[in-house]
Amino acid sequence: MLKFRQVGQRPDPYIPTASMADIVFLLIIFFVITYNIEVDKVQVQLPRTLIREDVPRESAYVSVDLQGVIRVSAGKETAVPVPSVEEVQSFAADVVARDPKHAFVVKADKGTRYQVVDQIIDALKQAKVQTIYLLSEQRTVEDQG
Amino acid sequence: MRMTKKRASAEIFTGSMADVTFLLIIYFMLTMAFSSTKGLDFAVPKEDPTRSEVQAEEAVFVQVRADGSYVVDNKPMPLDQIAMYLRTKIDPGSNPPVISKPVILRPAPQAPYGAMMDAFDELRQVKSKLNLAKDLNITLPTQREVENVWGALGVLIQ
Repeated sequence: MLKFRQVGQRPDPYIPTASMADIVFLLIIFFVITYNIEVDKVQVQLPRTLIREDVPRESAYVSVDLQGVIRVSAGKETAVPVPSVEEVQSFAADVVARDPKHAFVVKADKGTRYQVVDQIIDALKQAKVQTIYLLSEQRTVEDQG
Repeated sequence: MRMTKKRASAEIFTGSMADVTFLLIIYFMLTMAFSSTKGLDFAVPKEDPTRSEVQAEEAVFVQVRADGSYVVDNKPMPLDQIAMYLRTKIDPGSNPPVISKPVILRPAPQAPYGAMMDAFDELRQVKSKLNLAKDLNITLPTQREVENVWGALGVLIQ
């Protein structure tokens, strides 16, 4: 019977994973740079539009949900509820006093009565806000029916 | 007597590093997918103290009714026919075509916000649909502006 003698030692099966961390860190850096912190986490059904412009980073947010609860954020901190539209105007005036070109985003549920949005837009206009964005989602071919 | 010291191999264990970073990646990917950062913009008209005279001019009046239907210049109209209607409002003799008449978008207080956005989006698309040289001059007056300014000017708004 033939016997095979093992010459030397077989190397252990080993997959080098040290470079995996480098690749993953590169991906993380990409995400961190392109990441927009969502200051307003209120879940609303946004209206869908074909034309959509990029909202500047750290824009101030005014959100309205279906129940009519209004929340505001200057762009860096988490949105907080405000009791009335008058509060939106004083909040916006405060933001504009610090940065006259600060953009504002209105994030409203598509089922909200327009009257509420009208009052918010009016409050922003009175606070001398220069640019207002009406947040929307992308309208697709299926939406057009 | 000779002391033999066994040195431990200098190694930083990096096996779990990839697990941690993958978790971070998953977090960033999930939270990015759900945040919407685009929308329809409109520049609020600047106040011009040098212009005090208000000239009456013909405008296209788009109303959004409480049931979400549309009325253009007092005629009920489906949304997809507004661009065709606006073709008749192109300035005569303009080449490339231009619509200099302002378009006033006036939703009813009880109208759903989504219906107003549909109309606003449609009006913004008119430039590309009719190959206009410049964007439509869309005005979105608020209720207070309608009552204070337009009412004082004697403009009839329903």
